[in-house]
Amino acid sequence: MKSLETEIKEIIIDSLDLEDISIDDIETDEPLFGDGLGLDSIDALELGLAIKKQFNIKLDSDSEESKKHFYSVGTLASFIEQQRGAN
Amino acid sequence: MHNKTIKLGVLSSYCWIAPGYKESCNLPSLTEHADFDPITLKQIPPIKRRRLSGLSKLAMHTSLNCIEQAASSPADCLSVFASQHGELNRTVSIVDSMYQEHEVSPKDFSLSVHNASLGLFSIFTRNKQAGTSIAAGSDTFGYALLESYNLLQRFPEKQVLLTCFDLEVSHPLSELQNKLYPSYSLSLLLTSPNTAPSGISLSFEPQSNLQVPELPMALAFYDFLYNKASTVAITTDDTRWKFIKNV
Repeated sequence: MKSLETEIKEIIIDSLDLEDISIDDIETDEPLFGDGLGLDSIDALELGLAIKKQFNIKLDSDSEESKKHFYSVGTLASFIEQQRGAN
Repeated sequence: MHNKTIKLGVLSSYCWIAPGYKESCNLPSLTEHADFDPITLKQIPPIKRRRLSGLSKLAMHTSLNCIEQAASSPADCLSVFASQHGELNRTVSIVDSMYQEHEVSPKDFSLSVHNASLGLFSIFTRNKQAGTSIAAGSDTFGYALLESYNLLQRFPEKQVLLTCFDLEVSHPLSELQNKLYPSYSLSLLLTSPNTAPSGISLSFEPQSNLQVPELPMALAFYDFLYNKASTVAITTDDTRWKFIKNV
């Protein structure tokens, strides 16, 4: 079975049209925005929508907490696990 | 204004038309000089290229090639981006999502405005000059020429990039069109008339009997630019535009 991290990487590539990037190019713990993968604010919204749809979880777009959850693939995976546990 | 003739210098031109249209096009100069190849835009890194919609890709492709042909700098020109329908197809898909109570894609929403292509061009080329986005029905290309003329009157030492572009209108609004035109983009790099080796004069007058043009005005103009005729009259739904080549 695919790991949650791999699934998130696939969603990132598909939802953000990263046609030249493969799963192996995305480090689980590197920052998604700014210096790391180089995503921007529109990507953040698009990715948020894709994650909400795929995992049926709630996101608060304005909170500082959400920023922490979206720091890397690793932090997103922990957040999704935690939300799944809560449901 | 209708009887006034205005003059523009033409430094370079570049036209792209959807590949499938080549066989049905019966204008030899247009077929010979236009680019009918699939667009790759290799000059833009993939991380930036992914932001371009189908429509913005056309505009970017002809804009960059036209400027390159004149060995000019893309960061320094004024720009006029003209599109009759703009992001119509994307807007239909957004409205459709809303109707079906799906959430709207933020990327689609942010790129659905009429000046999205002009904005992306200015970001990619780091162009901080003035830019205008125009839509004027079947006269869109004509009014883009008038806007370019206005800009050159105000900044006579500058160059104006005029890009006129549209995607073929898709369902369901395609059913409301009198005629369906292929996706295309035409770019011209324009200057004040005395600073380019060749150019055009144009005048226009209203026309009362409504016509359905065979081709978008921009494509009829591009054919004229390369054919042997010295003058042409191009009629749109409501206007007759006259052009003369100045060599």
